[in-house]
Amino acid sequence: MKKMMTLLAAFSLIAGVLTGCGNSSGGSGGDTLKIGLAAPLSGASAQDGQAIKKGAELAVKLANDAGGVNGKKIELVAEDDKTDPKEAAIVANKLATDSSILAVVGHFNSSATLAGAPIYNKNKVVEISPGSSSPAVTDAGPYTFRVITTDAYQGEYVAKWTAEEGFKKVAVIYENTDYGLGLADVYKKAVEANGGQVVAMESYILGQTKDFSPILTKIKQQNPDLLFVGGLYNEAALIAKQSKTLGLNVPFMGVDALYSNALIDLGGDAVEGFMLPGFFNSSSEKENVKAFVKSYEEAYKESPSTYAAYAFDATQILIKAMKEKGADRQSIADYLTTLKGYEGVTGVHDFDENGDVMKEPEKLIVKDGKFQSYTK
Amino acid sequence: MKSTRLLKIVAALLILALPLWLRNEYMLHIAISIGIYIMLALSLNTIVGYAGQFALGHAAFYGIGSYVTALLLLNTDLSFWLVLPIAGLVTGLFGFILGSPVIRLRGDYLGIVTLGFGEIIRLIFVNWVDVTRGPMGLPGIRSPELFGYTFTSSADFYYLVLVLVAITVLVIYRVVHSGMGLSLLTVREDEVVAESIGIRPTKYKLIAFTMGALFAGVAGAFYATYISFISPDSFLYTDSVMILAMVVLGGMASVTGSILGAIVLVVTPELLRFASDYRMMLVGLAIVLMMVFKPQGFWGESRRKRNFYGKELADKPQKSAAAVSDSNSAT
Repeated sequence: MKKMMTLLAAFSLIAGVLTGCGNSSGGSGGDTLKIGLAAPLSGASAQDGQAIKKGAELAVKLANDAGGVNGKKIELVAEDDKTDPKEAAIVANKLATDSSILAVVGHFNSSATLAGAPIYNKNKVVEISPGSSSPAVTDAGPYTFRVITTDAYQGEYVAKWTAEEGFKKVAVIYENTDYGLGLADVYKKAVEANGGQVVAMESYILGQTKDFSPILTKIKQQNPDLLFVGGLYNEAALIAKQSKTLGLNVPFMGVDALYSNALIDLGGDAVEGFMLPGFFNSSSEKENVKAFVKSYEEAYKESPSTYAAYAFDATQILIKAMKEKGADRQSIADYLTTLKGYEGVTGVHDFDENGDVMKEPEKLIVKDGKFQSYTK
Repeated sequence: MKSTRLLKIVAALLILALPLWLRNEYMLHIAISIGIYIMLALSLNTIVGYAGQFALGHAAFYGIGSYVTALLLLNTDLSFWLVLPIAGLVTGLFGFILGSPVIRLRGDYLGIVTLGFGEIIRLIFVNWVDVTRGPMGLPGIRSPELFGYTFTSSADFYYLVLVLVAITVLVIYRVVHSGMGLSLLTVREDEVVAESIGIRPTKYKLIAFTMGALFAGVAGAFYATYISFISPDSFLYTDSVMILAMVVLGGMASVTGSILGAIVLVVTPELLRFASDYRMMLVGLAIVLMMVFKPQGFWGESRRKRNFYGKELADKPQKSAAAVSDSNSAT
């Protein structure tokens, strides 16, 4: 039993050390206004997580260069959630219980957002997600917001577009995750409601399926006139390439998660004519988008991805809230619930009563190796 | 002897009063996470450390416990206090079922089969959409209630996990330090010898699997009601590896070792948060260094004599102890 005692002592000691750390970092605030950032900085989605960090950092830098908020500098406190819901709960606890953190940009994947949501809501701190599009996030609580539209919204939008273009027999390929499944489900219902027919629904496993020919051969037998991909760009590019090889020459449609230069780099000629709605278009003619792309490229020597743009918007909205309503947790929440018509780089933001954003996407098509505005 | 007893009491009081002096939810959450992982590491240690069965799918048992709890709490009116043992028993049953066919396998082969089991369970969580809601997960799991009092604050959950950990430690400690524990170790060291002296390896391996799974299920049940949202993302292969790392790092076949391993592997990544992007790399490096310089873990086999007989007895027969340890290293 002596070792038990040693153990207990060690445990209390470590806990004591931890409290020490917590207090010192909490006490240093005062001259700066802190915004938390919770994103997968390591792990499977590290690429998107890093883009989110860069987007948020840029927004903070621009605000600080312009004088900060009421003379106070803004500081970004970045924490890694590894796309793991367990880790997300830890990060959420860390950020939410540090009273110097005024609001949080994050999390990225929906399961992380949902694991963190009860903690943020209990502590009454705003979390504004740049990437969680799952319909379940709608009911996550009054302090959970997002600048990305729901899968349901996009699915319905693309289904309407499908009907407008006169496609009647649609095949659906989706990744078997919350995101892919939710999207495929909504899209199927909306297509059928618009008088179309879904002739095939096939799923693949994210990160594992590399050979889509069995799925595509099956789909080819159904003779669809459109293929809808509910997934991410790596797989979409592979699907497009392999379907061309199999002689399945149909147009493709997807959602804004496919908006990445990687789609074109990986897909090459095969993704020509790929149609998707986009909230962020880096070749847009809008003044604010041009300015964002320019400063992002200057800062990081690369062009911004969709999620960098979402994070940029989310952070700017928080900074605006601090400026206009006051730099404390409740004021930021109050401001967001009433925010209408905020013009960001990913479109015009209106938050509804559930903290979901409503914004109209732009129709895009891949043409000559570039994303371009779609015209009929 | 007196001073150690005093220290013991002080340490116990400190742990009991933790929510009072650790007035920070983040720290409490870490303490609760440590509690969950102590249960997981200890339960895996019965399988890996004591019975010597190299199992790589422990997150599956953790997940089964969580899903059983979540589904029962969401779809029925059963109280959490009833659901908790049910989750444990159902998971224990799964441990028994998994144990039965894999008894014939040893070492690496067993590792691969249990790895496959872990993946199958995860894929069931992902694909059985009607029941598990697939990758969307199950949100809004009820909190436990006790005599009309609903558990809401981190302190409530801290005491709950403390009780569960105490039960787990007590049961596993009693079991592995009984004749059953010695039989398990005998099976691990040499199955033929075990059989020759009347210890049936099959029986003991199954006991280890069932008991290990049962406590992992209890840990899962607690996790589900504490976080109130579960999805298949929480029970990945990497989580199985993490739990195994805790067992190995702490020291195989040692209750204290598992507890230490869980504490170190939960706290280290948190202490390294300042390193942001390099954090997990540093954790990996720390584990590698640890294994190079102290391969038996923090509180491993070298202390087995002490673990069993206490310090005085272990130190007295110096010569025979050395002889035993020589023969151990030879095998």
